[in-house]
Amino acid sequence: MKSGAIILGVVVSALLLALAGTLYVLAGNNGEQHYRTSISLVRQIQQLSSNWSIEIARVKADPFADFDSLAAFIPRMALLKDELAETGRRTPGLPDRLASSLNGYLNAVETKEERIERFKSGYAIVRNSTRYLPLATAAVTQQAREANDEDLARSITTLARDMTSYLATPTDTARERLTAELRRLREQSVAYPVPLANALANLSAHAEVLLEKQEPTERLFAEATSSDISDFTDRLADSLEFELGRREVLTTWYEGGILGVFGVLTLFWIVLAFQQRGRAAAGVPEPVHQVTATPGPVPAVPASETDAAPAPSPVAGAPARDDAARDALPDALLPGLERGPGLAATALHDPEAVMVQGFLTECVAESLASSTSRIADGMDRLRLAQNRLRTALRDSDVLLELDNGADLDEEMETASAVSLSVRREANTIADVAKRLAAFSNLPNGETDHGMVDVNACIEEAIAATGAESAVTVARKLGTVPEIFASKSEIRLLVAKIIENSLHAVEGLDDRNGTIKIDTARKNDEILVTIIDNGVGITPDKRSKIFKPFYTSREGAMGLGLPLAGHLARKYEGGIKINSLPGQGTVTRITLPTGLPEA
Amino acid sequence: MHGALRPCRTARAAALGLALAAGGFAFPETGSAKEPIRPLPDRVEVDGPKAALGRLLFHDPLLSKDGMISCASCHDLRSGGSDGRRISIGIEGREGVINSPTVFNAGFNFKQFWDGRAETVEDQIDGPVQSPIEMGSLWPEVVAKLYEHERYPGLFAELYPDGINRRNVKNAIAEFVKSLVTPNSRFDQWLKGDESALSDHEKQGYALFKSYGCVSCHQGANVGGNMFQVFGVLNEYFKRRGNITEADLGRYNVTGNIADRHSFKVPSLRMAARTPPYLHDGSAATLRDAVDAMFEFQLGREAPDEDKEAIVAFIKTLAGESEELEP
Repeated sequence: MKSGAIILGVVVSALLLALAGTLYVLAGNNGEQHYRTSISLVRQIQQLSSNWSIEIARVKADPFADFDSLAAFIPRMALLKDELAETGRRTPGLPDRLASSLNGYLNAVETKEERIERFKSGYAIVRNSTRYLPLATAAVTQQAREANDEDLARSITTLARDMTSYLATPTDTARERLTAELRRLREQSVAYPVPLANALANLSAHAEVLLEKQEPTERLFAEATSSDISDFTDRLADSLEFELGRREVLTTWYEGGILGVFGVLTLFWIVLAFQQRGRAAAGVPEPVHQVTATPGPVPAVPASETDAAPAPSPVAGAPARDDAARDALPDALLPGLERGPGLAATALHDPEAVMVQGFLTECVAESLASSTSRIADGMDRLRLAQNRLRTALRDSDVLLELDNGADLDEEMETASAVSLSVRREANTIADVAKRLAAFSNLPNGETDHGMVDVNACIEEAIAATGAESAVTVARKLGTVPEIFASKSEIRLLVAKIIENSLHAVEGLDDRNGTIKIDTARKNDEILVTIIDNGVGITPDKRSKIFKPFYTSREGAMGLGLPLAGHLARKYEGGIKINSLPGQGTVTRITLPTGLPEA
Repeated sequence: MHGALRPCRTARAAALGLALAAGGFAFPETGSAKEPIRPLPDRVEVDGPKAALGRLLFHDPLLSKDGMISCASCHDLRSGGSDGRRISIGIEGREGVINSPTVFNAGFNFKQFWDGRAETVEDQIDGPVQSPIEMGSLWPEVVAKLYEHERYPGLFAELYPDGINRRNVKNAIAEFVKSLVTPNSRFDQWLKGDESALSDHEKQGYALFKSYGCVSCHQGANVGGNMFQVFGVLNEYFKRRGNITEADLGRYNVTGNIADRHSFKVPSLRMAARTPPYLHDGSAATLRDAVDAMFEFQLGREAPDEDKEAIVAFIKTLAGESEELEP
């Protein structure tokens, strides 16, 4: 693995680990423990508070009970309150709503405590007066009897009985009646001697305390022991639980995120390792340009690793391969490659494009081979003609022989035709090379596209194939409109069919081969019909003739008809072949005119 | 009230002729044999070394701004845990607003201060240390002085991992204060069954203490110190005394509730014998004066002098022992 990849790996790993660390801190700082503590404290406060209420009821029921047991709750409650307040302060991101709920709750607890204290104070007074009242009653009754005031004694006894029943079941009417009676006693007391007067005043004072405070004490008791904070506790605990649940989900996400980051990190290294191994095996340089997609690591890439190409591009990752391809391709293709690496790359990488390109390369090779064959054939005939000329010159007086003229003209004409044929084949080779470049859909400036006369192309094809020297060529070329096409392609298309016919005719023993070529316009199409009286195509071969590299001839590449088919399809036309073995073949080429139907 | 239904201690009072039968009254005074006052524990569990450090701090005037006043200045342990003054004197001779209560058995008080504004001994310490008319310090000053001291840094380092700070200073002093218990009083000995621990006069005083109703508020192990009560329940003390101060408002200053006006923590009577003067304003010079005030304003009753003297005699039996006390 090269240093560039390691640097990239380390930088990406550091970023991912930083992300994981951040998530870890977030998860750890989520305050769940604080919420659990708060919930627990709130529940404990509630429990303590209700135990306190139970103890108050016990104390209230026991007139000899001291208040130590009630006081013992205070430090325990103080501890819980302090802890709750402290936990609230320490909870990270405690929502304001919850913070004020907590404060409100602590206030409610303190209010409850104040109510407990108020109850204790009130209860102590009532308890004291309750204890004293019978004593005071007895004292006054005794003094009244000593003073022989039976009326007072009786009225005190009646008052005592009424007080007893009032304290058992306090009613408003009883209180009003007793209050009036006590006022009467107080007013009356002034007339008595001092000890009795004071005793009466004290009795009245304590009875009034009971009348006034008995009911308030009951109310204070109810307030102190009511479950006023239990509702609050439930509400607060619910809010805390809800928030805790939210935090737990959040923490789960954070933890999931951490796992995800480590997963990504692992995958990243696996991919990086495989990529490096794959490149090492393929001898392909590292995709250093990809580094530029990540901000930051760019300066870390050593200058030696970067390609000469200044601007990185998505597929610039194969510069060396481009170089290799450049060497392998003809110069004619170079402009296109230089201008459009994307398309060139597509042609190189796309299997379909490769096949087409390969097919066309084979077509070019086949075409070149066919042309070369014609050239060689023509050159053989030229040599033969020259030999005949030489023999004629040797066997006769040169000048006389030359005066003979007719034979000499024939040989000279043959030589001239062969020369012409050689020149046209050379032109064909150049055309095919250009077309190959054009086929890559790259504008290379030099195409022979234009309005094409199909009949002229046929004539050129007949000449190119040298058909007329081998067989009888019968033309019946009708008037057809020009089409927009490549002249060389149309010529090649026709030539391939003629070549096929020539080969078919060659197999005839009588050597009376005939090729008949018709052109006609049929609706919006041009119909080219090429009929030979050759050997024909047997049914078993008929399905294979458009397949590349299928051939029945020795030394042929089998791309003639496939190329013809390819070219016909290119112009949205078609080729139909009907054949009777031993009798001949009818080939129909259709080419759309691009014009409305005639 | 039928004698057979009364518990034995109450029967004692009945025997003294103070509780006369009052036929129609059926008060829930039956069924409980226990006393409303319980003995103090013999010892309180505290951290010994920390309490020892607290003892040093308690007596160290370093805690005050001018270096003249220590906790012990107003809470003289030898004499009973208070200073014998009506109103205490702070730094630079400044007069306080309230009578110093004793620190003995303060750990048994349900809240601290006359108005109960501190719920723990620790929190109470903030008050006098920082009060401008008491010790007048700020905690950072105190902590800084302690750090400069030749002994304290080492002592704190041994006991507190985080050294000298406000919390630890308070904790040490509080440990010491909580250790100031006065167990084994004669009354406690009597409660525990030693009939000879109290004289008949003192026993009579206890019976009166209960029958007059003093025990309604002065109850529990500390004979008080576990509740608030309005001063002037049955007669208005402050109207008669006049010149009402903020301190006279008592618990109202804490709760802001009008019902808490003139409400104070019921003081413990445990060390009452040794801590004159009495009441929050120090207006009762003697124990007898305090008993008189209580009868008038809290009980709304008259009582013969011999009864009041018996009660005073009983109260004096409540003071227990402590090695900090002068015998």
